[in-house]
Amino acid sequence: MGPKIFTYRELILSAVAINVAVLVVFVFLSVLQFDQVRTGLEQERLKVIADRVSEPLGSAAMIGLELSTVRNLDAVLERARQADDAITALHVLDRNGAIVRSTSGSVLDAERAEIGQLLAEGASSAIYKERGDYRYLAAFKQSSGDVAGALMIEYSGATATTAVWAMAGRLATWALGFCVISSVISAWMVRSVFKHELRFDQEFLTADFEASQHLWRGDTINRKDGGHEGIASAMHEAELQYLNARDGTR
Amino acid sequence: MRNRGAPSQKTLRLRVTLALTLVIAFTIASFSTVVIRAYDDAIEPELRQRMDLLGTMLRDDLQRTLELGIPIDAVAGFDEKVAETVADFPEIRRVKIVANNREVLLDLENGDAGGGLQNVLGAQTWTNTFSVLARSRIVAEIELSGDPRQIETRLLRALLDISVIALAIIFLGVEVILALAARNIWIPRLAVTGLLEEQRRGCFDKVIDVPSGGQMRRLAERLNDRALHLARLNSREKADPRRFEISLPLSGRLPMFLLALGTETTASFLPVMARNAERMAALPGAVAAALPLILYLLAAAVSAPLASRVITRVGPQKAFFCAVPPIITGLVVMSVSSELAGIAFGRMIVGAGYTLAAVSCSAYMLRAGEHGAAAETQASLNTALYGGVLAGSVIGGVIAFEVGYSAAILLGAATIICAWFAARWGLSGPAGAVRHSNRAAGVEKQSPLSFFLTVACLAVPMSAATAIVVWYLVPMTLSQQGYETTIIARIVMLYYLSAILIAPLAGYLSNAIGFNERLAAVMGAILAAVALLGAGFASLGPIFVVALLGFGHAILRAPLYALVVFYCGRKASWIAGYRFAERLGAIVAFVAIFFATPENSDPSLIFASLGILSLSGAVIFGMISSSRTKRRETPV
Repeated sequence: MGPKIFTYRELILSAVAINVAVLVVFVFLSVLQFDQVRTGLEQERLKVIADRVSEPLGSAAMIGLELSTVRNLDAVLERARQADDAITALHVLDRNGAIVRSTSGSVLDAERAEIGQLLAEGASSAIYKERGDYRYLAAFKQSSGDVAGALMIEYSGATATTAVWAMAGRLATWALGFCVISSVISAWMVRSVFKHELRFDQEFLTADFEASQHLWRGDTINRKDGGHEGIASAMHEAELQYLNARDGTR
Repeated sequence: MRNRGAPSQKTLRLRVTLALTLVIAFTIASFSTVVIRAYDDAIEPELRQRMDLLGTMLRDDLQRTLELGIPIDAVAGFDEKVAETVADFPEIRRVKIVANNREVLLDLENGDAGGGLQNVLGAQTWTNTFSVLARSRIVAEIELSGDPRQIETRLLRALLDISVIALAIIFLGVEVILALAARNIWIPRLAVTGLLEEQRRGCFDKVIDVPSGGQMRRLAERLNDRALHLARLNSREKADPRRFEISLPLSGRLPMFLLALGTETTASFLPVMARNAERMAALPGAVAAALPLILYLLAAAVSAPLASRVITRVGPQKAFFCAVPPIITGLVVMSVSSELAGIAFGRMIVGAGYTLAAVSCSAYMLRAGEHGAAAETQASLNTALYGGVLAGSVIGGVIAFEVGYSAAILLGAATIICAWFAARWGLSGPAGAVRHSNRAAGVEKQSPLSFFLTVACLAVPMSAATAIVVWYLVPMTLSQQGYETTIIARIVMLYYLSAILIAPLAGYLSNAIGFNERLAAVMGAILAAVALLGAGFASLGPIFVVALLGFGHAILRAPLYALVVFYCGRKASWIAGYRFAERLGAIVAFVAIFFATPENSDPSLIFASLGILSLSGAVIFGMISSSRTKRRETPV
C-alpha cells in the first residue's frame, strides 16, 4: 500500500473553478455597478450646473428674446465652464441646433444632425456619449411651448473611464488574493468531504493486497461478505477462476 | 457484495452543498468589505466635487442677496431655497449657516435623519466650510456635512445581485461536483465491483472503462487484462470482450439541471418581453403576454405522451439528443425575433423539446435506479430540475437587465449545448439505451376514479397556479409597478428555492410524524390556497405569496407523485396521461380565467379565483378520499 495520496484532482479543480467563477462575477458586477453609480453622480452634478446656467437663458427664451442677445452670455458660459474640471466646453444652440455662442476648448464637432433632430422632437434634456466623451443637452422653451434653443455641455469621459479601470484593477488584484485563499480552503473542504469515499477505495487496495497474499501463500479462504475481507475473497475466487480458465484453454 | 456507492450519495450531496455554501459565503462576505472600502475611496473625489459645487452655489446665492444691501439676519425664506437646492444632493446630511456672531441662521437636515441604513462599515462623514463675503468682510460661514451612506445603499443592490448569483453558482457547483464524483469515484467502483462479481462466477467476457486516475485504475486494468488475455487465447471461437457499463441514476442530474437552466433563463421576463413585442393591433396586451406560456404548455402537454413512445423506441440518451436541436432552434428564434409570433413559436418548440428531454432524464434515472424507490429517484430529479430553474431565472434576470433579453436567451442556448455534452456522458450505459426486454413486471392494480380525482383536484390546480402566478402574473404585475428584471428574478426564484429547501424537509417530517400521503398532499394544497387567497383578499406582498405558494407546492409535490404512481398501478401510459392532463388543465384554467376577468382588471381577482380553485380541490379530494378509504377499510 502506497502513501495516502489524494487522487480526486478533478473534484478539487472544480471546487476551485466554482470559487473563481463567483469572484469573476463579483468583480464584473461590482465594476458595472460602480460605473453606474459614478456616472449617475456625475450627471446629477452636471445637471445642476446646466440648470444654473440655463436659468437666465431660459427666462430670456420665455419672453421671446433671441438667445444671442442675452447680455454677458460669454461670461456666464465661461464661468460655468470653470466651475467644473470635467467640462470641456459649453455651447448655446438655436432652435435648429446651430451654434450661437460657445466657449473655447471644444473637442467634438458640435454641429450634428442628431442635435437638431433631438430639438425638433421636443426633448427637454438628453445625454449621449460620443467617442468616450459625453454631451448633455438642455432645451429652453418659449411660452408657446416651442423649443427656442438649447444649452449643450460637453464633458470629458476620461476621468470616468480612468476611475472605472482603476476600480477594476483594484478589485481584480484583491480577487486574485482571495482566489488563492479560497482555493486552499475549498481544496481542504473537498478533501474532508470525500475522505470517506477515499477510505472505500483504500479498502479495495487492501483487499487486493490480501488476495494476492493468499495467492502466493496458497491459503484457502472461506467466502465472506462485506468489508475488505469480502472483496478480498471475491478477488481470490476470481483469480482462481481466471487461472482455471487460462489453464483450461492451453 | 453490497452496492457501496449508493447509500453515501445523499448525505454526500448535503455535505458538498454545505461545504460549498460555507466557502462561498466566506469569500463573498470578506470580499464585500473590500469592495465597499474600494467604493468609498473611489467615489470620494466625486462626492467632494459635488459638495464644492453645492457650497459655491449656496454662497453665490447668499452673496447676491447681500450685495443688494440686505443684512444677513434679515434674509427670509432663504431656508426654503436652500432646501430645494440641497434636495438634489442626497449625500449631504446637514447644511448650517453660522453668522459672524456665532448665531446659527440656518440649520437644515437633509433626507431621513434617523432612518435608513446604519453606516456599519465606518465610511467617514466629512465637513466643509465656505465663507460668505459681503463687501470684503466675512459675514457668515456655510458648513456642509456629507455622508456617503446614501451612496452605499446603491452598492447594496450589487451585493444582493452577487449573492443571488452565487446561490445559482453553488447549485451548479454541487451538480458538477456530484457528476464528477459519480464519474471518478462511484461509477469506477461499481464497475470494478460488478466485473469482479462476474469474474468470480467464471465469466470473463466483459471489460470496463479504466478510470484516468485514482486508486481503482490498476485494479481495473488487471481485471480487464484477464478478459483480454482469455479472449486472445480463445480467439477461434469468441469475439472481443463486450463492454460492461454501469448506469447510475445520479448521473442524470447534471443534464437535467443544465436543461432546466438553459430553457428557463426567460423565467423573469418572458411575459413582459412578449407584451412589448410587435404584434397584430387587434391582439390585447394581456393575451400577447400570456400567449408564449399557453403555447408552451400546449406543446408540453401534446409531446408528453409522444415522448414516452420515442424513449421506448430509441432510448433515453438518443431521445435527449433529438430534443437538443429543437430547443436550440426555439431559443435562437426567440432571441432574434422582435415579433410576438416568433417569440411564441420559439417558446412552443422549446416546450416540446424540453418535455422530451426532461422525460428522457426521468426515464433514465428511473431505469438506472431499478432497485431504489421510484419516489426517491423522482425527488432527486426534482431537486436538480428546480435547482436548474432557479439558477436559470436568476442568471437570466441579471443578464437581461445588464445586457439584454436576447443575450440571456442565447446564454440559455449555450447552456443547452453544455447539456448535450453532459448527456453524452451522463445518460450513457444500459439505462440510456433501448430496452429490448418486455417488462411486464411492476404493473399493479389501478384505481381510475382515485387517479382522476387526484389529477383533477390536486394536480391541475397546482400546475395552473404555478403557470398563472409564477410564470405570468408575478412578472407582469411587478414590471408594471416598475421593478427591474433582476428584482423580479429574485422574487420568482423564491418559489423554486422553497421547492428545493422544503421538499426534502417535508418528506422527512411527514415520514417522522407518520402522515399518510393523502393528508400531506391536502395540507400542501391548503397552504398553497392560503397563499393565493391571501393575495386575493388580504393583498399579501408578492414575496410572501410566491414563497408560501412554493412552500405549499413543495409539500404537495412528492406525495402527489406517489399517489399518482400508486393509483395508476405504475403503468407508464397513465403517467404520461397524468402529465398531459396536468398541463391541459393548466391551459384550461389559464384561458378560463382570462375570459372570465375583464382586461386590465385587478390581479387580486385572479389570485382569489385560483385560491378558491385550489381550496375546493383540496377539500373535495380530502372528503372523497377519506370516505373511500373508510368504505374500503370497514369490511376488513
